[in-house]
Amino acid sequence: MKNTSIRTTIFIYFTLTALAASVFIGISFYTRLSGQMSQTIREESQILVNQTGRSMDSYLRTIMKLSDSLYYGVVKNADLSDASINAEMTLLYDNNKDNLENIALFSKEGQMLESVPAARLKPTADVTGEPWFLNALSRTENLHFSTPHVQSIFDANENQYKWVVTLSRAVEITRGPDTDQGVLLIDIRYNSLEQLMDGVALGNGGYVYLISNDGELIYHPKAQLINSGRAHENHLEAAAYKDGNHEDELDGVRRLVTVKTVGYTGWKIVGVTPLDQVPLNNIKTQLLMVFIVLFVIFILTIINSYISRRITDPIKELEKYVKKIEDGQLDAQVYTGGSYEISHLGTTVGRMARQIKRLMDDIVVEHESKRRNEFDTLQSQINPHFLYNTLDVIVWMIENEKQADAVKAVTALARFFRISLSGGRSIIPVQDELEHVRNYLMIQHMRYKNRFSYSIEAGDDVPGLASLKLVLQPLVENAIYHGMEFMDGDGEITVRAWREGNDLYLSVADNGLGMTQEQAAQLFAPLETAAVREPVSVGTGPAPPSPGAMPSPGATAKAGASGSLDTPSSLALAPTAPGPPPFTVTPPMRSARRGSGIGVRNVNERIKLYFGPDYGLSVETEPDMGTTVIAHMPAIPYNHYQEHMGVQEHAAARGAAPVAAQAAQPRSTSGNATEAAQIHPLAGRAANGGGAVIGKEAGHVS
Amino acid sequence: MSVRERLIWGVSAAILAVLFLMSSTDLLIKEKETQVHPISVIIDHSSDEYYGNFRKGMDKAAEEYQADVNFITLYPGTDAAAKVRQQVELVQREENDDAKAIILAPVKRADMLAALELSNPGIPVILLADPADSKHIAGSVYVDGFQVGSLLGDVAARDISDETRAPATGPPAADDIADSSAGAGATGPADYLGATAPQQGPAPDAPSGTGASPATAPTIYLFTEGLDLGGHSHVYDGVRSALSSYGIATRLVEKKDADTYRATIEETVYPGTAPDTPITIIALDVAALDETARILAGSSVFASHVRALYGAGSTTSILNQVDKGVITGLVTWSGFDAGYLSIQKAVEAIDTGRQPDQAKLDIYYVDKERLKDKDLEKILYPIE
Repeated sequence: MKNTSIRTTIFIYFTLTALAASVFIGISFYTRLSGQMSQTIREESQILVNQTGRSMDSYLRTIMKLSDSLYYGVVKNADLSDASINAEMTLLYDNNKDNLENIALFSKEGQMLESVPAARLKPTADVTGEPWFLNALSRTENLHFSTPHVQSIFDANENQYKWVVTLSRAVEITRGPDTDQGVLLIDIRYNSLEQLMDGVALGNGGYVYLISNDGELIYHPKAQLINSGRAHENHLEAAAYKDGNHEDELDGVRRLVTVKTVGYTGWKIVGVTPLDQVPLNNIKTQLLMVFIVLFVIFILTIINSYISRRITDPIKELEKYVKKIEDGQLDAQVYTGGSYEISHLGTTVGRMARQIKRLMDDIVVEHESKRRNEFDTLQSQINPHFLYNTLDVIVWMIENEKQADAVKAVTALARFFRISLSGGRSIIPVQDELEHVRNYLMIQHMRYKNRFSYSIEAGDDVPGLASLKLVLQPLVENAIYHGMEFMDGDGEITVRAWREGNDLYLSVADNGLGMTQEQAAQLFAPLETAAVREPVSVGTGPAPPSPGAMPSPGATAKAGASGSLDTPSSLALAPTAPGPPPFTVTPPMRSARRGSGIGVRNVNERIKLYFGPDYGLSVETEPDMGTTVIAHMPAIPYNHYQEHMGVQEHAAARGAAPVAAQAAQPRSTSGNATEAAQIHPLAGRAANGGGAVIGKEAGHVS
Repeated sequence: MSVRERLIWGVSAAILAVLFLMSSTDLLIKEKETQVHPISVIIDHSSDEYYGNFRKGMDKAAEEYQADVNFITLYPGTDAAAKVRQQVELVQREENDDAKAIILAPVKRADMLAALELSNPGIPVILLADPADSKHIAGSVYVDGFQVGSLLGDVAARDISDETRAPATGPPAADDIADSSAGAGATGPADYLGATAPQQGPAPDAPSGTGASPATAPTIYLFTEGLDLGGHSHVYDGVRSALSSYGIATRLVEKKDADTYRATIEETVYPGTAPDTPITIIALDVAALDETARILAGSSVFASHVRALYGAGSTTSILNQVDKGVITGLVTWSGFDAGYLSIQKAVEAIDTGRQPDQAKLDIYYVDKERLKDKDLEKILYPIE
């Protein structure tokens, strides 16, 4: 159950509850209904048997009254020696002939004195041995009903036989002055008795039968089959039953047995109702009950399913959005439907996602701001040092009355700072970048006269393109300090700018000592790695393996021995005497020891930050063969950049991704914006967010 | 909703639908319908006078099993061969008239079986004769004729023995006879008659119609409508088997014409042809018994020359003759049961196919004394 969903749990518990309730209700209902039905059947059976008993009682009383009429109205008052009673007997017979077979009067010797209808005894007949005759004379005060038998004493059609129930009684016969006993016989048609019972049916398959007080069958719908042993009946057991309902079993069938004793005779009417014939007990009724229970469960299950779905679907929906948020889609619109709780939860999650996004944006912005500030700080650090050294040179020129040179230096310095400021823009035309580095080279060339020569070359289509500011100056700076370190007037620094298709290339080449491939690879190693190791030259010249390994003459050598090779302030090339004073050494600080901070690594990172990971610096160098550092940037017309300055600046506030997106677009399809986003988080954000507009513009640019 | 959920819902709905159909309609579970079974009963006589109780049992079963019974008698005045042909034609006719089963009392069992093989009826046939190993016969309701004959022979022989020899034992007691009905299938007649006569082979018949008989061992006349009819030959074999054990000769009298029995009895009256002692007659079939009883009842002279009349089978009229003393005793069976069982088996054959089933009827010895027995009374006089 650990991994069971809420829906399944709700569904299972609801369904089990419904199942238990349905089964309980079903069983209760069935038991109650079945019990009521059985009770009803018992009552109806008893009512029917009682009615049959009353009918039978009435029937037998009618016969008994007839017997009384015959005796007291006919036989007792007649003198048989004088007159015949045949007419009176016939009259009574005719009135009851539907029920009667014979009426006969016998002397106690067995002589037939009268009979209606007219009949004679068989010559072989001896009535004195008949049970009915003997019973009548043995208990003269009673009326005696026999059990059914074939009346065979009368000579009748030899192809016929009559089943009768004989009522016999002792009578007083008058013959002249003598009175004697006789026996009055009334044969009741068996089929008239049968008619009373035959039409009585108890339910489906139920029946009624009649037994004597000792259990002998008088009537049974299957009497003949029972007599021949092909059917069975518990009539002997039923004879012992008291009036009322009983249950017994016959041939594996449970039966309801209802008994009613018929008044005078002691006969018993027995009603039999098979209990498996009770309507509720048959298979279809049981199936109907099962169907009803299952149907109720089915409906409840559907309701359960609906309810559980109503509860869990919003949760599932919310889960989907939470999953999106988990995947980084903090802008996803969180589902807030469903019940109040789920809606509230969704709203809260959405608010949380927005809060996370805001915090993340703040972190990114803060991070970018930090990086930018770091760059700006690094960039700004050059100014006081460079300014201090340059002013020192200018002072030196003025003191030596080289006003013309001083004017040139001041002019170059002024231009240099003007372009350095550039209104605070990070992107400037290539033309300005080249002008900037030219001023810098001019100043440095004035300071280090005869130590190196330089040249600047640019294609005609290059000046109007946009470039990251201060790309070339750090490269040139390092070429001067490292590449020209051991040169003596024959150092050459060549700055080139050219365009290839949609790419802009700026390179700084020197003819210095060059580097090994390992040293070149260290140029772009992470700052931390580089910091853990000893500071490595990021200039275009070779980096000394350890402080002091490359001693420089004079202060320069000392400064160089300090290990801060790429720190202009710490790396003082000894000016040629007489010449301008060397650059002063700034207090050693970590960033200062790495130089101005605007070294090759930082330039490379800046380019990648602004234009994407496809751009940056590359180094071509070999020991003793000089070094060429190439800056690769997208060829973006500067005026186009200016047109979208606002957008870019806005995006730049969030990171450099817009520029990167611009840089990525010309190189490939718009899909590369995403690629760029994947490679560079800032570019990615730009591509997914504000980059939509920029991407479109970038496409236009390309 | 997943496929699995849909499947579960679908199966549940299907189960409910099936349950509904089962519980509330007749499509899957049919209520017991009252199906009427048309059945034809073809007897071997031109009259149903010997089938009175049979019809009562038949009617009772028809009522119970919802059978529509068509009871068919043969045309009168035809010989046995013609009756067989009639029965074959009637079987075909009834089958064409949509009878679902035939109950047939064959005039000649062997001929009828051969005819059925040829006609190849498409409905089950229940034989009122000895069982037959035939694909057309779905069942048999029969009486063991040999057993009937044995019982008759034993009773008759015992009667003769009582008169002509020193009685070793008394006549068969009522209880002994009553036992015979229950144990008839398991024990020989000699057992319950108390006879100790050695078993011998059948005694040779005396020449028919000669009336000659040895003085010490009176001949018993065996009357029959024909040994090749019904199961008479089995009764004959049984009688001869029993009598031979007592060394009593028999004389077979087959009915040739309407006066055959009378003529044979008359022979016992007229000087020169009359035997030394009154004769004993055993009627091997019910028709012979009925006719012989009528002949004897109609003439006190004949009765004085006939010591005893025994026979097989009963009707109300015959039982009256027993009551009157014309018939000394008879071996009978429940015609009601025969009729009831034949219909029952026919219905079973219709409902369940042709499952060969046999029902052997119990036999009872009846004489005047036993006529009053309450149990026997219910069998001999079925309540309608």
